[in-house]
Amino acid sequence: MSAPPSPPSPPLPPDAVQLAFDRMARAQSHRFEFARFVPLIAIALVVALIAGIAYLLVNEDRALQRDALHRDTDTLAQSLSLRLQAISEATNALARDALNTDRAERRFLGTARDAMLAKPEVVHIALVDKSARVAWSVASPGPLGEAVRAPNTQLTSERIVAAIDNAREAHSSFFSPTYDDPTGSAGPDNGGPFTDLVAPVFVDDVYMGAVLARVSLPELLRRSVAPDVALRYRVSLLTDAGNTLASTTASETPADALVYVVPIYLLPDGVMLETSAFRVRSPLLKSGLAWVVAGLTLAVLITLVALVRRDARQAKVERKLRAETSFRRAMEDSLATGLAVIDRLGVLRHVNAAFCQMTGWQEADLVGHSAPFPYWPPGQFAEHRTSLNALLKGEAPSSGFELKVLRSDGSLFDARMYGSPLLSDDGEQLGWMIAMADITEPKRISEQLEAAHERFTTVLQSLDDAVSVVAPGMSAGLSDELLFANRGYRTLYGADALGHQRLQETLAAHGSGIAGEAYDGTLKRWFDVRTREIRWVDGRDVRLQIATDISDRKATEEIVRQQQEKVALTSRLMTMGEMASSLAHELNQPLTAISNYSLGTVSRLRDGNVTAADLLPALEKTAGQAQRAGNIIRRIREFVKRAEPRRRPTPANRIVEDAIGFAEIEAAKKQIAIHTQVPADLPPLNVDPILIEQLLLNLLKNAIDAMANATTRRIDLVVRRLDDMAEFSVIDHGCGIPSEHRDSLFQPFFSTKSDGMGMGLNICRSIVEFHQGRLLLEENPEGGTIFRFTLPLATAASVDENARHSDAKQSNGL
Amino acid sequence: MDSEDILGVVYVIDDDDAVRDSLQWLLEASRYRVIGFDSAEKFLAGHDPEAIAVAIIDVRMPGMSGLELQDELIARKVSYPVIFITGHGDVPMAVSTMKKGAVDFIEKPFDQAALKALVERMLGEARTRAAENENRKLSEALMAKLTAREQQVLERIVAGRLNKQIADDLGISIKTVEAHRANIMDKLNASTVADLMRTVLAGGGLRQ
Repeated sequence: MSAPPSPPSPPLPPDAVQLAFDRMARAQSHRFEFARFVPLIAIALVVALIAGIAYLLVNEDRALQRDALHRDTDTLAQSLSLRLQAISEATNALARDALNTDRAERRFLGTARDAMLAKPEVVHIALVDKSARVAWSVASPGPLGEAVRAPNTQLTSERIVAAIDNAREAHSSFFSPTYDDPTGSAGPDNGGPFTDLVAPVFVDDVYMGAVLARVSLPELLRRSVAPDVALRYRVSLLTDAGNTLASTTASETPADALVYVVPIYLLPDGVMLETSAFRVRSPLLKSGLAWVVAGLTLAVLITLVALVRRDARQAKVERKLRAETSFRRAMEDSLATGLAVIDRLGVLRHVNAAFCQMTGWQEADLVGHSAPFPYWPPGQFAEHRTSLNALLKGEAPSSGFELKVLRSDGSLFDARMYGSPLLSDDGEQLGWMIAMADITEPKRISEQLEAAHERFTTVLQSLDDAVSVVAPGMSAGLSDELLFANRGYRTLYGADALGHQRLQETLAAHGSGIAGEAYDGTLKRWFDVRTREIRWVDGRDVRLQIATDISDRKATEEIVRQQQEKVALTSRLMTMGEMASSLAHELNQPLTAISNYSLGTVSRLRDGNVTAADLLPALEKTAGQAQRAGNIIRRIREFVKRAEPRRRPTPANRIVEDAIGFAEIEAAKKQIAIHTQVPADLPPLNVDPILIEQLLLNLLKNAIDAMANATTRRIDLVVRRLDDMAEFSVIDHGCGIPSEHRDSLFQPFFSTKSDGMGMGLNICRSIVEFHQGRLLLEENPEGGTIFRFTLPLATAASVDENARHSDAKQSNGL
Repeated sequence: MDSEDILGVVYVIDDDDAVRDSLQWLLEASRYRVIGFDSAEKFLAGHDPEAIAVAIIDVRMPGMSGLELQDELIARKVSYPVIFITGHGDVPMAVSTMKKGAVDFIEKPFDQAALKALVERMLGEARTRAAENENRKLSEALMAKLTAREQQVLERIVAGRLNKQIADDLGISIKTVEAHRANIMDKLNASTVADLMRTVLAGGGLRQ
């Protein structure tokens, strides 16, 4: 059978005690300690310092960079402008000389070529007439040169025309707005964007035309920017709208780069020169020192973190330790039991508050001392020493020592001291732990209890009654347990529950099973038993039984009863006597009357003067009385006659069968078998069958009664022939007849049976002797009694005798 | 009272008719007057308590027994002598009945002479007792005439006290004593102190 699973237990409430200590410890550890912060502050300062320096340095660096940028840009702008100026001068020169000399065209072209050789950024020079028609053109011999603006082509670009007009009007050269010229063989990559320098040609202040020098801006830039500058800077020409016209690099200017923009005045459209610095590794960072510093900073930071963590860990551990220690101390101090620690050499090393309190001694008196200790009473040194030695040897009993302890004020108290080894974490024995408990009060109580128990036990044990408590066995097969028995019980039944059980069973068999009288067949004693269900000290339901030996009382009762029997018997006798006396009295009445009448008559006759008539009534009455007497006699005779035996030939087996028939019922009830043996050839008996049946029945009943406790439960009825008699033997295996009774067995009214009438055997013998037989008893060698009697067989002669006998009786008027 | 009454009557109480009747026959032969009853109850109802009589009672009777009858007669202060008829002797019974005043037993069947003698004796006793009774009654009547004081005086006279002593005892004068004495003598019909004594004794003593 399995129990249903129990519901999960609710979570235990938090350990309030532990929490309290934790809280306290934590509170203590939160005290502000400046020292803890010093390293932190120092580190912070250093870090700040280094960061500040680094910042300053970087800033300085940037400033330097910016200055450099400005400087370089200015230089660059200058050089660009110089080149543009140069170009402008060259172009101006060309314009001046264009129509001035012979072979102007050849010179023009040649000079132009030379100029373009000197300045490869000029990709084309052309001379246009006053209607902007190309007269001469020459491309640069450099790679960028292209044969554009072929002679006799009309310049149509408005921009150029406008520029020419401007130049004409200003009487000086102008750079045209920038433009792209996708025409040309190279396409967009032909060196654009361009700008044309337009130098008007005036001969004697007459506008004759203009010289156009196409400048490739990218090339201009390339040529202006020194390679080392180009390495350092991104240089671009921008329009004022921000569009890049030309650049030294293809890469974009990052948003955060240092940028400087300078306008190039010579160029139109607000073309500007932009330079931005490539990010250049600060020489600072390249410095090994910077690395070292950084490294140190890092190391410091790591150390700091580690320090802080360790500090925190430490603080936590410290808190726990503090909490734990406080907790343990609180435990130790709140103990009522005194604790002491003795080291392996027997020196007292530690005592708790309770120990000091109990003994009255201070810690100083105790700690550091060895035996004898101040709390050893002077008269008890031996006992204390013995127990201490036992402890030090490791032989202290688990139940401790009971000793007297001396207080500092001189008083003594009873204590129980326990010792156990004090082991360190790794199992090493450091000494001994002693616990001391004041047992004065418990001892007193225990002594009182013992006294009470003793009183109680004395009472119980001195009772003569057998008192026992038995717990019935829980299941069949488990014997009952004897929980308690007083001396009275043990004397009778020993130390088990069998006696109790036996009495209980007897009680139950004959009554309510709760109270009553029970006979113990084993002890052969009578008990008055009272039982009661009670609850035992361990909660079991048990049975309390009190048995009082009432054998004596019973014996007395038995004697009284027997005496009462005798009285009853006597009264039976008296009745018989009374019957006889009443009979006698009955007869006496008529006799007296007759006597009186007669005497009266005689008197009167003697006196004379009487007549016959006077006397007649009396005489008649006399006669009447005589008859009355006669009737009484007759009644007696009839009564006697009724009991008169009547003999006739009767077969033995019929008598036996009839007798058995009656006896068998009783025998069967008592589980006794009756075995008969009758010879088949036995002649009939000359007996009064009714009387013999009565006789047999009587003997059988006696036999049955004698065998109440017999083991062999058999009665034998054996008949055999003995000459002219039949011998009957009734053999029982009963208790037998003690010799002291044998003599009185046949006396009238004698009986050993509690309900015996005592008339049986006497009458039996009378019956047998009436039949001329003999009735004898003898001991059965197998135990029991044998009754033998003989009866005559019927012969012809005896039958005649019967007839004559009864006739004679009749004739005798009996 | 006729002569027979003076002689006395014999009551026979027996439940057996034959015995009673025959006993009556026998006794009448001796010229006694016999009255028979067949039960104690009938006898009690029909007898004359004042008569000089003897009762012959059968011990064993149904209803009230002979012994119970005796007790009843004593209770009624009837002074007949009683003769018990028994069928058998019974010593304890005899002793107890004798103590109570019955006089004798007789066994059945009866010896005539013995019976007659016994009856005669009993009747004599009855007569004596009757006479005594008579005297007593007379004395009592006489004594009742005395006043209390006279009784006191009489008491002392009977005790043999002299007049003077009597006077001292009672705190009265001798003269008074003598006067009382004269009155007493007169009332009790006595002429001498002896007569006084006789009267007093017959009355059964002085009432205290």
